[in-house]
Amino acid sequence: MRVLLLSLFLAWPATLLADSPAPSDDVLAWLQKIASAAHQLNYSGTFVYQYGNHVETSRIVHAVDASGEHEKLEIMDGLPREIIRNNDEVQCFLPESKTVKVEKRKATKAFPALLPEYLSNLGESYVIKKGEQERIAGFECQALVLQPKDGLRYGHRFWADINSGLLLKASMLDEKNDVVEQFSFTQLNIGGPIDEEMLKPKYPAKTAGWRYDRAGQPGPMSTETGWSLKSPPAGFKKIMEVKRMISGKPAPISHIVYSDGLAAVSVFIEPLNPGAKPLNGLSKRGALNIYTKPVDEYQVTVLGEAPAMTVMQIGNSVYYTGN
Amino acid sequence: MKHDISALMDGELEQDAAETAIARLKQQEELRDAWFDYHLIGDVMRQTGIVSADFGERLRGKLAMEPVVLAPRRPLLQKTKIAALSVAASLAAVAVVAWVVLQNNTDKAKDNLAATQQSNAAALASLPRYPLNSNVNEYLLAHQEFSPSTTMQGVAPYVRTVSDGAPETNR
Repeated sequence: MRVLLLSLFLAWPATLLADSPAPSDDVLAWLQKIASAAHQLNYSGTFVYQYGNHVETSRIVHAVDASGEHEKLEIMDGLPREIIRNNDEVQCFLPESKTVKVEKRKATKAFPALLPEYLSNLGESYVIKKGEQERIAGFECQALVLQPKDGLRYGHRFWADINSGLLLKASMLDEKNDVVEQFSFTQLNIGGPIDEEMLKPKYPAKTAGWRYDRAGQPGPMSTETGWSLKSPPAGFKKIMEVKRMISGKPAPISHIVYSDGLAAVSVFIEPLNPGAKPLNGLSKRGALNIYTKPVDEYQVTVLGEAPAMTVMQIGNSVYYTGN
Repeated sequence: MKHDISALMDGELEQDAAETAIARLKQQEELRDAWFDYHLIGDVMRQTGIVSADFGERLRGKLAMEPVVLAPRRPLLQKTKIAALSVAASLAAVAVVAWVVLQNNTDKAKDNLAATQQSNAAALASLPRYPLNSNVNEYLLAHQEFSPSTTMQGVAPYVRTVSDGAPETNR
């Protein structure tokens, strides 16, 4: 049965490539509208996240004021977790270990992947069409269908509120059109003021016993790590390259991100600890595939929301350029 | 050709085409790599556990020590048997054997298949489980920042990095 997937994957009709028109300005404008709505609107609501047989509910609050963007995500099922974002800083509250992991991005171009140049690149890898209008969480939505042109990436379906452009439902689909991962709002308020209290963490993280882990900081945005890919999968381009610190690692890690405009795959390269056993294998974390392999004296970890084949292809293509 | 390998794994090839595919598998390393990659991916798709990339190599080692896996296949057609055995010998591809047995579909073959599967499961169970890189959570967090899904949905996709459905090294 698993092989059925693969035969589909391999038999992906080549003709699809030949007669696929470039995405229309209309659908590209929709994608732009979705991207800006997510960052410019006040909203609060509850959404369901699912992958495989796993389903969990989260609450989200997003507010924009003079000081920028503020956002809080609270996981309602299972282990309690909160994630709070203030502009470029993401704080992840882990109450059982009384830890706050802080991840700060250098203030560069905020969202490289959806700049117009990348948006037009989407047409290289996906056939993008408008779908039906559907009602989600009480809002009339426009569906957008992004069908992959090959088996190197998943398909996507987006449902955006017709009035505001906010994304109310997003599905990632495999070759069989089975859902790999899905976000779907069940309740949502758009617009209006957001009470500041709703954006605060509920944990007393500033009190004794709690620890802030600020190790996850990118270093200076050096663009050269000395690592590259011999042959990136079709459509994937490097969107970011940096040497950065990672919590728990003494030395900087090289981090390179490849994207086709919608799917992103990160490559992490760290020196192997002397005497440590190199890891070599494939695993999954939710909808993300993770592939690890040693390259020379380094441990390479490749992960992303792309099919296992793509993640492995990237991992097997990593080499040291010698610079 | 890779499509034929996939169809072979699926049990969709006719006898002649299967023999041709098996013969090519024997000759071409690239196809053998594809064969292992597909199986590896299939395994990972069906279970969220961790499968080692050099699974095939170590399975071959295990099989070398377990002649039982390859022995009881007498009722098969002589020609098929030779083809299957030689592939198994060169590839340690238990699944090919299982497939060929299935195609013949006799009671005896079913018994053999069960035995093969048992040995297969035993070989799998005895493989060491590779731990994830202890920094995978940090890596997920760092990755999410640059994922276009964050552009489309804001902080929502961060549930991926802290979801309860997966092993958590911070516990």
